Amino acid sequence: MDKTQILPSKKNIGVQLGVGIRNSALYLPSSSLQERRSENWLYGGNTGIRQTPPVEFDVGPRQPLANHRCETKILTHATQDTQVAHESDIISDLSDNELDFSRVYQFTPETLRSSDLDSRGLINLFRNVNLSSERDYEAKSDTPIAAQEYVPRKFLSSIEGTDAHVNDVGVQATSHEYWNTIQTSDGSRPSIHSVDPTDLENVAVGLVHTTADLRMNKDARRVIGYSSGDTGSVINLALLVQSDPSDFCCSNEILSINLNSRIKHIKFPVLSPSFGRSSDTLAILTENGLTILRVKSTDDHTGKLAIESPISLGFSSLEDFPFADISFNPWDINEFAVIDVKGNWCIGTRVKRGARESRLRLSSNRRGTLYDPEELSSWKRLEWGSEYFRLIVVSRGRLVEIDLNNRSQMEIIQAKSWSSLRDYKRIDDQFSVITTSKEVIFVNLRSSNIERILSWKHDLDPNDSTLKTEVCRVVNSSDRERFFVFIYSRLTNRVFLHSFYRSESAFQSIGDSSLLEFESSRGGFSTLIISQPNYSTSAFFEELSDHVQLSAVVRDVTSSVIWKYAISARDNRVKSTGGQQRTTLLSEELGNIQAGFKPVCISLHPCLPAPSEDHDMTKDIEAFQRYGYQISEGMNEQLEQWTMGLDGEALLNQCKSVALDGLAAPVDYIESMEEFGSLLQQFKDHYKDYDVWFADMCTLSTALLKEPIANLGVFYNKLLQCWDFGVEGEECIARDILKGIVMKNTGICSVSVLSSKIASTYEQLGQDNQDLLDAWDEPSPFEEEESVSQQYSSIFQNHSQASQIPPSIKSSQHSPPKARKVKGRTHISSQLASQPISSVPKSPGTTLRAPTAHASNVLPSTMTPAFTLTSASQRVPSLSQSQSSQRQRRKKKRLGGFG
Amino acid sequence: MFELPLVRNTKRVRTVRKLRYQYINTLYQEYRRVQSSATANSTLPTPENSAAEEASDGDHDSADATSRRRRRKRRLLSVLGHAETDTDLSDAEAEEGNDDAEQADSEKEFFTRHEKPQETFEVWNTDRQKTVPMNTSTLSYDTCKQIERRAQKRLSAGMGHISKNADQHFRAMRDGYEIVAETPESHHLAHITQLNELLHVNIMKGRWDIAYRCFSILIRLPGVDIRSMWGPGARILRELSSTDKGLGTSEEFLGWLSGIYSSRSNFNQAMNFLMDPVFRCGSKTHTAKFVVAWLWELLFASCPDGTEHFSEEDPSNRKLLRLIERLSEMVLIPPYMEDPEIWFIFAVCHLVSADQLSQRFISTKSRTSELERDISRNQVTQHITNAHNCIRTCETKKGDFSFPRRIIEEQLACFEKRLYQNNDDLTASDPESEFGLGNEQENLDTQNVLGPGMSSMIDEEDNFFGSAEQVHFGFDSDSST
Repeated sequence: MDKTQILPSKKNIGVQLGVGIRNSALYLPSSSLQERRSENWLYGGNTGIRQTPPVEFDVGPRQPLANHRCETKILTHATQDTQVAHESDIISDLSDNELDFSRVYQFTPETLRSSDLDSRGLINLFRNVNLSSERDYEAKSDTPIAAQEYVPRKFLSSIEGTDAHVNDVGVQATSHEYWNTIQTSDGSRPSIHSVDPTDLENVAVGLVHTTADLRMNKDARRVIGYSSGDTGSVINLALLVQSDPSDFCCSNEILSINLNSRIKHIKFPVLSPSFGRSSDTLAILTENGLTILRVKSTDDHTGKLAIESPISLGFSSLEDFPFADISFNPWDINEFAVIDVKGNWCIGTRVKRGARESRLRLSSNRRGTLYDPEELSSWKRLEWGSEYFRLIVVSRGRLVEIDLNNRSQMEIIQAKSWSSLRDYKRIDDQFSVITTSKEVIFVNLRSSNIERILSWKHDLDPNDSTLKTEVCRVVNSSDRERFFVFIYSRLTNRVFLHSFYRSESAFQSIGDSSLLEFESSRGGFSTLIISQPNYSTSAFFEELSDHVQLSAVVRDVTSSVIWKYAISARDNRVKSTGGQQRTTLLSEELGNIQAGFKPVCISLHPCLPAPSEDHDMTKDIEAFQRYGYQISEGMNEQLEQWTMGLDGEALLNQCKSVALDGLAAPVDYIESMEEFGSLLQQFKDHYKDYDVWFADMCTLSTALLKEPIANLGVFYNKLLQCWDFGVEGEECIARDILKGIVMKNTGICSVSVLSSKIASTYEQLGQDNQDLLDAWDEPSPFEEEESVSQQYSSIFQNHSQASQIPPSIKSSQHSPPKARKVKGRTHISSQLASQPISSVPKSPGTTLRAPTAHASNVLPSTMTPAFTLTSASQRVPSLSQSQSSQRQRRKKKRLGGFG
Repeated sequence: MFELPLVRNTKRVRTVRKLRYQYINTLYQEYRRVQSSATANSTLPTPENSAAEEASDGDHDSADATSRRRRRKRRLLSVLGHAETDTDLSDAEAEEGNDDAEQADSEKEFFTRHEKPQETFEVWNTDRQKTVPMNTSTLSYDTCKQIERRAQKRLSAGMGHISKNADQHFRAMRDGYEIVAETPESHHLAHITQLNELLHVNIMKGRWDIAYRCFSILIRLPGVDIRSMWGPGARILRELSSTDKGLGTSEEFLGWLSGIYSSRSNFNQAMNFLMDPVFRCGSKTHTAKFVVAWLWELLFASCPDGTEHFSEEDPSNRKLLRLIERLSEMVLIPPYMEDPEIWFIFAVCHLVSADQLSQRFISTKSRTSELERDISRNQVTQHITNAHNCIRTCETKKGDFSFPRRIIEEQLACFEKRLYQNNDDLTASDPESEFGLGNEQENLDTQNVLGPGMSSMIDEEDNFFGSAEQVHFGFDSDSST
């Protein structure tokens, strides 16, 4: 069994698994090689729980780990007691950050009702704006980058005007806005998002072993590096302090360096385990170069990091393309390799001595290109392969292994037809995990030929190009280990998890995949890092890894806060010893699972109304009668309230409208919508005499169906035709929804109060506004009063318009000041306008002006009316008149042209 | 979040797809031109750089004839010292090719250079022997921009009338950005998306009845391809059929699929497919994945986990016989005939039945008559012979099927040993097997306890396999045939 693959498989394919596929398998005969078990098969995709129980994870609540807005304040859970004073700051800062992406000036009903407007004093319409001094905007003469005078091509071309649209597409927005929204020209909702694939990781956690620590025989320290700042160009380094075995937090001292360019990738080198140490460097890829930092020392008490001054390499040192990825040689601390967005790669070395500008040197003969004209995406990855002379280069369409010794290359994967590559993770010298748009694939790179060992079809959206993988390896014993493969995306806050198991030479997939739900992160994750469990302290992993405790460091797309989550395996699994216990155990487990999960999918069925079989129509009528009594009672009460006092403060209450279900509790169950409709109709007819206004059925039907239907029964039948819920008892649900709509939206208000309300409102207005109102419609104040009252009375008699109650005066047009202007300027026209309309087209000299002055009285059909309640009946004749006058005017014009 | 079991084919997607293929085809041509002129001008062709050139084309097997011809012509010309005229010539030819290509389907043109794999989503080449020399020159900014500018120029003619969205999508793609998945456009699609999401989430959480409901609605919706989602279906049915007798089993479902969707069609490399054939369907050269899954499931069902062994009336035994019958028919027709995995399953079937039959020689030794023993002994040897034959056929088929051959042969040898074990030392072997059984019932986690014993057993069998097996095998196979 020298081969790594024991399960039967074809070459180049390996064991190909997916949901519902558990082959291939190996037969374990009853009494032969394998120890006796109750199993006859060694499945490729093991779904049972006997051999290796699948581990299910719960995601704990999130805790902020670092928030770049307050770089000096450290948000750690463990040290809260020492920082109580800061807590309010922290919270406000967090919420500030969280709200960054919602519009501030949006007025929702809640904000209107909030105490801000009621309270005296200053009203802040906008949130406080922190003017951060972003150093990236400062021009510095001595920065190494600025000397190169790089102006983006797109910028130039957009100035020249040759390429007008490119600006919308490609130009990076500042700050942590990852979505390059492609705006449509009319400013409507953007329909496509583009994303920069070279934005790899702006948070990284790695081990750093300084020379001093090495001499003192101390362990390597865990360091977190993350980008911050409005342009994402400040690199922050902090020590991660293990506060207790399963928890860690940031140290208080954070080292920030401004790199003057947007950070795209932070990488800590991982050395081969044979070294027994970790590196003391880290690399940062920015938009215009590579920077390598070396940590000099760490302070035990304060956690302060000291670094040597950064050494950098401009993007122009290779082939004038920005770098896409960097990788360090695991067998040589000083060697690294870079690749640019077009696929040019080069080996480089870090030399200790020499001028600081030339300490990073690129090799002149160990370089090459893997440029593929068929590859458009600039996503490229570079990793060291199974040997010190092997490089793995990954692009969306290819995976190539480069052999530096033989100076040869080999295209291992060509993904140009059905899938494309999404991520590549090196687990160790031997195994790697490749994520494609369809599968997760384990590959063995060590053997004489590369082996595709096992693949799992993950069924995630193949169009999602932001999928990334994080692999966590839990070693149970020397030859038994578990691999947890986390796949996350920028589009969703759910993380796909599938676990694999390797025992000696058999790779298996364990159990079903699961989704981890991360609490309250909006959007997806830009980076997710799973901390690798510390092997030295993990003696308990021997016991079939029931107590896997992982922690995740997460930065989501929308905010720049870095969160920390604890991920722990559910430990409700008791070791089973016999077959009998297993059954009871299973049922317990199921219960626990259901209790443990958040009710994500709404359990629809119990709450849906169901048609009751033994429904009695006679009871229905009784119920309707009872309801009729109830609403008329409620209505009477309401009427009493309305008529209680016609002036004073009570007036305000009286103008409030009520909905139908505010009067009485609605009927439980309605079998016939027609009956219900006629009941409502009767009710409305009855109260029409009491100066009460009801919202019309047509209003509702136009809102839902875009056609006016007065009869509720017809309305219901039409709705049934459009609504299809795909469940049993659809009609019942439709009835219930319609009932709800009718009850909630049939507004009732008293008309009689309105005129007095208007009068009192008018009195409350200041002189200016009164003048404005006076001048609103009519040139003559006498006529105005009359017409307004006329208008109102006619409005409410003829309530065929969709309207809001109470009627609010919205000045949606700007004609009043205009009218005033006209009035002031031309005295003649105002006089003319005050004359009866029929007398308007008399003198040819003034006919041109007359309609414009008239327009303040009678609106043209294109303009929105000043009052939301309009009277159609009164205006129609005048409107037609104005149109006829316009027609006359046109005629006149033509005549004038001839004359 | 999950893959939809249908093709999303909006107008914009189609336009961008077309543009993309056109663009990369022109880029490819331009790049080839630039490269060939560079190599032609700099050096005379040597075996090394012509090999590199070969490699840079990216296709070794399916290089189209025209390009090869052109290359040969160019090489001849350059040897003759006509390097300058050569570039002109290749220019003209490239233009010609381009004109043709624009009329033809650009996607088809793209795939004449690339193979469409059937077995995997990607073309895998894992053989380290097939390396090609490293491409040591790097691509300079100027060259790259020159190529891109030319390609854009050529493409700009056709871009006048495309929609703004498609235009922006394409421009973003061209600049190296990636477009993330968009929201569904229609209500129908939104409905399918929701159901699909629910289906996968509920499978992951093990709520099988809800998942079943989603699945059964989904497969009835127009546009949904059941072949894209048989995996979840089989998984759900496997869980539910044990409790709900009204439902079919997953084997029945897979059998139904295998019956309905034939593998008789040819996979046409020249056609543009919108969905992959890997898990979805089969062809004359590719065994459909659901057929393989079905056969495995039948095999698992005929020898389920956790059963102790059985008498002849056992229904699982009959299942196994039926499966063997079916397989013997299947291996006569194309895709299965050449598929080593089918042959391997066939071999395992024989292996399992040999195991089951030979079990009786250990457990029920006293009750059977000598005649019955002879009959079943013959059966066992026949199965063992067949298993050996199948394994041999499996190995001769293309595709390099790898399996632990030694383990399987050891197993077969062990079964054969059982036949004669009883005669020789009944008393010696019995307590051992009894002990094994009892031990297992007491304690399942006995890996460490049984470890040494197991290894000694292997050794024993190894010796046996090495010395005596051949003799018995040859003798019995002769007598049985």
